[in-house]
Amino acid sequence: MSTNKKILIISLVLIAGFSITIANLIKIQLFEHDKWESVAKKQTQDREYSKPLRGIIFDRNMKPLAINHFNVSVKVIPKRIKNADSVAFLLASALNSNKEKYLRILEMDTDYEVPLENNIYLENTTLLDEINSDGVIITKSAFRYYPYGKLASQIIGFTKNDKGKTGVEYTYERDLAGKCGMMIMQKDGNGNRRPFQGFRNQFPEPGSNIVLSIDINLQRILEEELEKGIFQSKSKSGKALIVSVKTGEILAMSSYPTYDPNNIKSSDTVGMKNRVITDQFDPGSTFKVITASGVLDKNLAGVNSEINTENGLYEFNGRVLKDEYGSSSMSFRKVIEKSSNIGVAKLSEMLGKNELFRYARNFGIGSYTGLELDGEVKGTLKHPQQFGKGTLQFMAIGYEVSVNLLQMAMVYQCIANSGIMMKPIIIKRLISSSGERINENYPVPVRQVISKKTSKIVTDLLEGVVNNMGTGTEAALEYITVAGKTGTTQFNTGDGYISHIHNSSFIGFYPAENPTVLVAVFLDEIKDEKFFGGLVAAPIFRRISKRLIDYVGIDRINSNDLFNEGYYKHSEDILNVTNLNNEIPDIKGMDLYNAVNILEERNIHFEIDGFSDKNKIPQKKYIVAEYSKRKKEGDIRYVSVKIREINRNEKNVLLKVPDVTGLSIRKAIGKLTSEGYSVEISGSGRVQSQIPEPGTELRQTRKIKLFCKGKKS
Amino acid sequence: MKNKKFKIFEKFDILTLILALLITALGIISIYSATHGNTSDIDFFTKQLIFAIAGFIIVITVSYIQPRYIALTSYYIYGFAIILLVLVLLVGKTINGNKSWFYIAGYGIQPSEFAKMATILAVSFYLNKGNERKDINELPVLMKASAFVILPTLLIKLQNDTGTAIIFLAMLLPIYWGAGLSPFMLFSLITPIIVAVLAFFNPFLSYIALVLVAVSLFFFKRNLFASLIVLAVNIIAGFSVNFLFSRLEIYQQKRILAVIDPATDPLASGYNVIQSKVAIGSGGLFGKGFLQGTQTQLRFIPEQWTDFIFCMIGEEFGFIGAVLLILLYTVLIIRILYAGVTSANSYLSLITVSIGGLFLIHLLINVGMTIGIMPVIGIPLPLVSYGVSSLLTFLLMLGLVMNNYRFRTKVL
Repeated sequence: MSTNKKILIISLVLIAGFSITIANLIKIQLFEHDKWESVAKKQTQDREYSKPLRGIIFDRNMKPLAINHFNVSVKVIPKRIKNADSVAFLLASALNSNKEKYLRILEMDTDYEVPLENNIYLENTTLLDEINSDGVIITKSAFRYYPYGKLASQIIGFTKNDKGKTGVEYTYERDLAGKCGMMIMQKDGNGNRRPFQGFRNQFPEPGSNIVLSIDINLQRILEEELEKGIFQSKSKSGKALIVSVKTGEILAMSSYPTYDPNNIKSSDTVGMKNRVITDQFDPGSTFKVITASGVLDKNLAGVNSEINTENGLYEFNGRVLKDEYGSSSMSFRKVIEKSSNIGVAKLSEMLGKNELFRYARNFGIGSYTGLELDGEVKGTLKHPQQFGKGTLQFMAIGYEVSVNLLQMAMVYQCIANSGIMMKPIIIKRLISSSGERINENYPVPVRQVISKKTSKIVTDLLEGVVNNMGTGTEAALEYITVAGKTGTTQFNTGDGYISHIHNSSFIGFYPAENPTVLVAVFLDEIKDEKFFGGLVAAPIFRRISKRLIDYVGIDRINSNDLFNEGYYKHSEDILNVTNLNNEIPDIKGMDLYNAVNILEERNIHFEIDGFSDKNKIPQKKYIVAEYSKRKKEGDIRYVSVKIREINRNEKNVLLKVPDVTGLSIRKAIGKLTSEGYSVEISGSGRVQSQIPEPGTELRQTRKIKLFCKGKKS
Repeated sequence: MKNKKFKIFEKFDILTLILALLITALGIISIYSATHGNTSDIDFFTKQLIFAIAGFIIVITVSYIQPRYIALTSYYIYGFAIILLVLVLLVGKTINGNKSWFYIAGYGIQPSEFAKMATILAVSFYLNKGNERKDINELPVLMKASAFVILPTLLIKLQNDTGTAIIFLAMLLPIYWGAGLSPFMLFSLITPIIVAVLAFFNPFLSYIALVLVAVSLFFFKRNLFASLIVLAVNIIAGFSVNFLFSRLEIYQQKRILAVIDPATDPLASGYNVIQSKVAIGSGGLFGKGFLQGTQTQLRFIPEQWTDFIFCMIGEEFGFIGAVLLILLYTVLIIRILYAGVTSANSYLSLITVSIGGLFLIHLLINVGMTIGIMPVIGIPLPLVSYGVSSLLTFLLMLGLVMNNYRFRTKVL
C-alpha cells in the first residue's frame, strides 16, 4: 500500500469515527438539551414542604382547648455547625437526651445530613425552637391534642390528617391552617440531601389562634348537668346552651351524647353532631312567647285581659285544641303562666296570620342565626300564604313550625335584652400567630324586634311562669328571679306525633330585673310518664344555673359587665350608633359585590330586578343604578335593587377615603361600612391612624385598616 | 552524523508534546472538578498532577533514546509485562470485579495498561527483526504476530477485565494495517465483525451487508476458494451472533442491551449511560461552568474521574468544551498516524501507527459509551482519565511517537 493510499484510509476512518461522535454530541447537547436538563433538575432538586403549626383554640379566658403536640425529627449537617459543644447541649436538653451521644455525631466530618433523632414525642418544642444554629434541621410534625377531652368537643370539632373535619376546626380551617413553608433540597447520586444554597427558604407561617366565647368551666357545668338530667329523666338525648344576654355570645353549648376528640377512631359519629344547631324540632309551648309578644307589642290586649279558654276544649275549622287543666276563662297572665293552648290560640286570632308570621320572622324563626359554625339548619316557618286550616292557632302554640334550639334561645335572648336581638357569636376573636393582628368579633345587634316596653311586660309574664305557681316553678332559684318558659311536645316522627313519647324543654334567663344569662335545655324522646318540661327540663336548668351562679359569684350576676368584658355598656347604645334598625345604607353607585355584602351583613332582604337568582350574577361587573326601599309583607326592611353593567370609565372611578381618625372604633366602623368599605382593626380604643390615609383615592381596594390606641371614651 | 553536533531541539516533535500537554492539563482540571468536595482520603488531583509532571519528563527522555536500544529491549519489556499479568492473577487485588491491580505503597498499578505498550513493542520488533521486514501476509507470520497480542488478551480476560481484553483484540487492526496486511485480508477480518454487530441490532441490515461483502469479494478478484471461505465466515458470524450473545454473562448482555435502550435496566448497567447522557445533555452549548455541574458535583455518575470523565467535560464545559477536546485528539491522532506512515524506520513506523490506532480506539469507545452509542466497557480516556498506570503508559507511548519523529529517517 502506498503512503498516499494509507493517508487516504486514515482520513476516511477518522472522518467517519469523529463525525458519528460529534453528530451524537450535537443531538444530545444541543437538540435534546432541554430534556436532559429537566431530568437533571428533577434528579438533583427536590421541594420539601414544611407544614405550618395549626392555630390554637382558646376559651374566653384563654384556656387552651385545642393545642398541638409534636413528633420531632432532628437531622444535622455536622460540618456546618460551628460550636458543636453548645449545640449538642441545647439539643440534649430540648430532646431530653444525652449530650455526649449527640456530640459524637455533631463532630463527624461530613457536609451531608445525618439523622439525630427520629419521630420522638414532645409536648412542647419551645426549647427546641430556640436552637437556631446553621446545620440543624428540625422537622416537627404536629398533631392535635384536646386537653379538655370531651368538653366542648362538638363546638371545637376535630381534625383528620391535619384538616379540620367538624366544628370550629372545620369552619375556620383556612385561618387555623397557616401557610406551608418550602425549602429546595439538593439530592446527590447517593441519595443524600442537603438544603440548596441558592434559594431563600420560605418558613411556614403558623395559623391564627382563635378565641371562642365559650367558658370551659360553664361548659363543664352544662355537660355534667345535662348528662345527669338525661340519665334521670330516661331521655334518649338532649341539648342545652348558655348565652350571654347582652352580647349574644354563647358561653356553653352541647348536645348529649358527645364524643372524645382525642380518640376519634372509637367514637360514635352520632356524638359528633352539634345538635343544638343541626337538629330541628317543634318548639311547642316555648314558642308561645312570640305570640304573646306580638299581641302585647301591637297593644291588642293587656296582661290582665280575660281570655275565653272554652273550658279546656276548643274546636275550630275542624281541628281540636285541649288544655291540661281546663277553665272557662283566664287572664292573659294566667294563660302564659299555665301555658294554656286555647288561650294562646285565642291570642293568635287577635294578632292575625300576617303579624304572627312577621313577629316569628323577626325573632329569627325560619332563618339562619348566622352562627359561625357549619351545619346549622334554619327550620321552617310557613308563609301566611301557605297557612292551612288552623295553622295560625297551632303555630301560635309552637306546632306546624320547626326551629333549632339556638334559634329558640335567641328569641328569649331578644326578650331579655330589651327587645334587641343579637347575632349569636361563638368566635370571640382571631389572633394572628405573631399576635400583631387581632380581628375582634364585636357583638352585632340584628334588629329591634319588640319595643323595650313590651320586652319588660313579657319578662314579667315569664317571671310569673316560674314564681307564680306556673309551669316552671322547678326552675326557681334562691335570691335570684328567673324568667322562663316550659315546653312539652309530643314526639314528631316527621309523619305525625306519637302520644307516649315526649320532648321537654325549658328556656329561661335571669336576673329578671336586668337579665345577663340565658340557659336553654331540651330533652328528646322521654318515655317516662314524668315528661312535662316543668318537671324534667326545669330542674336541669336550675342545677346548671345554681352552679353557674356559684362560679361567677352572686354579686356579679346582676352586673352589666358579666360576660361583657367592658366592651359595651349596653347593646342599646350600639344600636343607636349604627342605626341599623332604621337606615338602609346608601349603596347607589357602589359595585354590586360590595352592595350585596353590605346588605347581607345587615340582614337586609333584597332582590335584584331582572334576576331571579341573585347568586348567579357576576357581581363585579355590575353597579347599583338605583335602589328603593320597599315594605314587603312580613319584612321591615326590603330593598329592591336595579343594576347595570359597569362601563370602562367607571372601572377607574376614584373614591376618596373618608377620615375616621380620632373616632371611636364603633363610630369609625359605622362610617366606613356605610360607605361600603370593609374594615380591619388593630388595637383598641380610638383610631390613631388609618391605611390608606384619608383623602387617598382608591379604585378597587375597599379595605381600610385602622390602628387604634388608648382608652375608649 | 558524527560530525554533526547534537542539537537538542532538532527534530523535536514539539506539536505532539504541546497537544499532549493541553489534553493532559484539561484532564487534570477535569479531575479537580470531578473530585471536588470528595471526602475520601485520596487526593486524585494532586496525584495525577505529580505523575503527569513525571510522565512528561519520561516522554522527553524517551524521545531521545536511540531506537536500537528500544528494539533490543522490546522482548524483555514484553516478557516483563507477561510476568506481571500472570503475577497479578496470583497476588493481585480485585477492584470492581476485576483482578487487575497491584497495590504498592498505596498506589494501584494496572499491569494491563503497561502491557498495551509492551505488546506493541514486541509485535513491531518481531515483524522488523533482522534486516528484512517480515511479510505479514504470510500466514505463519500473521499467526505468530497475532500470538503476541492474543497471549496478553487471554491473561487479561482471566482477570475478568473484558473491556481491556476487547481493546487488545481491537489493537490487532492498526498493527495488521501498519504492518502492511493486504486489503483483502483486512477486509476478511473486519467484515465478519461488522456483519455480526449489524445482525445483532438489525438482521435486515446484516443481509444487505452480506450482499455488499459478496459484491466486494467479486471486485477483489481473488481465487474463488478464498472468496467463498471469507463469505462463509461472514454468514456464520451473522447467524451465530445471537447464539454467542446468549452465552455471555448476564451483566455483559445487559451492558450491550443498554446501548440500544438504557431504560431497559435503568438502575444497573443502564444507570451509567442514562446518568452520563443527563450530565452531557444538560451541559448544553456552553456548559454549566467549572465546578457548577450539578450531575458531576452531586456524584450522579459513578467513578466519574476515571472512565466517565468525559461527562464532566460535557456538562461543565458544554458542547464547545467537548468538541475542543475531540479536536485536540483529532489533531494529535492525525499527527501520530501521519508521522507513522511517512516514517522510513519501519520498526518505529509500526509502533507509531499502532499507538495512533490505540489512541483512536480508546477515544471512540470511551466517548461513544458516555453518549450511549457504545457499550459500557471500562476503558480510560487517554491522558484525561485519572489513573497512574494509564497516564504513564500513554505518555510513554507518546515518548515513542516523538522518538519516531526524531529518528524517522534512520533505518534500524
